[in-house]
Amino acid sequence: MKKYLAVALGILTAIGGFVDIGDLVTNAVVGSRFGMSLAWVVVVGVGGICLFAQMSGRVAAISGRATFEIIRERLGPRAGTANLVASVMITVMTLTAEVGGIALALQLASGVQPLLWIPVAAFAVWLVIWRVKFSIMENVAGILGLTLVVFGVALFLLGPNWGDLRSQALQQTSHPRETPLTYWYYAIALFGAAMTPYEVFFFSSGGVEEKWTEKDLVTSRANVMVGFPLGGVLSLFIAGCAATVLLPRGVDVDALSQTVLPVAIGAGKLGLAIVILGVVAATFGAALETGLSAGYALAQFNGWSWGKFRRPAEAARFHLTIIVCLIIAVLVLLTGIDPILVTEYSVVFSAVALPLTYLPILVVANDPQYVGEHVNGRLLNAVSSVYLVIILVAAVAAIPLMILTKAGA
Amino acid sequence: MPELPKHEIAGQVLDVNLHILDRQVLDNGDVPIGHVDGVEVDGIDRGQELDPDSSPVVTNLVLNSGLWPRMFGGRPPESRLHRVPWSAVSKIGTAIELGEPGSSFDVTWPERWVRDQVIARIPGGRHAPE
Repeated sequence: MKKYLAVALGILTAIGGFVDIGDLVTNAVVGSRFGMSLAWVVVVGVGGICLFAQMSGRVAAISGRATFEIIRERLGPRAGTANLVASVMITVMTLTAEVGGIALALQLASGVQPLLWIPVAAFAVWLVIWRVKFSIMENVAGILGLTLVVFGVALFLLGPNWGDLRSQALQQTSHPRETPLTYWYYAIALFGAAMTPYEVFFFSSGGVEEKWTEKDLVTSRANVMVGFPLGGVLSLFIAGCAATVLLPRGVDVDALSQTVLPVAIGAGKLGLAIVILGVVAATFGAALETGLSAGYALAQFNGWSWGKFRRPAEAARFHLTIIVCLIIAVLVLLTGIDPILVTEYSVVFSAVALPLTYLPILVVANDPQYVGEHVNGRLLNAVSSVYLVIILVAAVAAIPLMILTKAGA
Repeated sequence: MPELPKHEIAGQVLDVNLHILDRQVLDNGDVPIGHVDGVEVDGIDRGQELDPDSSPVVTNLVLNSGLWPRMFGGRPPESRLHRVPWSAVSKIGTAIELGEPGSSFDVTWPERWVRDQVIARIPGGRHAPE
């Protein structure tokens, strides 16, 4: 019984933890401009994160090695350093966006302007990383993040024309205001939002934090294979809400208030209160994950002591890294830059950095020294190789498309 | 993975590139202390054939000597060569495990410095998270 509870808890946490500011913003933007016609990208992206997250989790459970130790070991100094620099920059950028997201959500709740919330939010994130046990931290943020299900409730209450949404998703209706270039630009943004590299850094390091062994493989696989797809469904609800309310009115999403507007219309004041709670929980949870991930990446790459299962004094440089990253995030936000803009760029840059992160995971998941008898099967390798090609194409196309479309304008 | 050459003497055959360089090094308490950036070998004279009777011996692992020389060539200054004697190695697997605490190697000084000067001074820094 206790085991099933643990599995259920893990799945719930994975669902709630899946959505972050990148998913919230990108799905709403895409829904308001393209309806559901990019839903297939969410499906492809979730498939990819499931594949590679469970591989990195398996490697962590059996060998005790987290993703960035493997990146250093397999890619060597040159490609490894390139990946480290790119990954840490993107992770800090995502952290900045998440802290900004917390501030924006708290502004919606309180009316106090976000500049005042930013230092408070960042300090709270640091305090949790400094003092709260890993498992409690992960479960509380994940469970509270589940309240984002209210996007689904609101969608049903809005009573959209389901046939329309379906035909948008399946028949690729044309969008008079858009060009094929912006379509593909947002396809890559959505793909980057679903597959952000920090998720595998966090997932595999979390496996080491929670001292997974071979016995936990089933649990970790269930978390990924059930939790992430359901998290992807949440993403589709967000897009669906935007497609129903914002698309017909020609409203472009450039603020968090527009992301949650459909919920307020569909589910009223109560719905709005719940969705704000959900957004705070999701962005706060993701801020914890990205802050830790920046520390994990740098510490694992350099061979420093790391982890929340140690006292801070026993993982000094790891904690110092997190503090420095949070300070950078606050300083960037205090310039008055729009967190939504930071988010939009961070998901596209994520797509650029994907290949160097996912290739070493695939290689090591085939190495018996790391995973013993649990090496990838042929089918898994075949599908993963197809994904690597998709990832590579997205990475190469991302920057040219960003320039050609003036970042999707 | 290319086939490793067969050896007459029984034991673990290690490929320096594959199994040693860039591997994580753990101390006897499983605490990471660094990555292997180099291996020092004794018994090779420049320009001379190797003598099969007195084969070269690995003396030290060099940890965290910086990635710059490895990327662009050259040799790191002597002060950056944090050596760990080969005799301290107790096991080589997915990580290289040592039989001694990390504090006995000078490669951990930056970690100790940050701990004593910064992290341990922040309230709660010496307590386990709850």
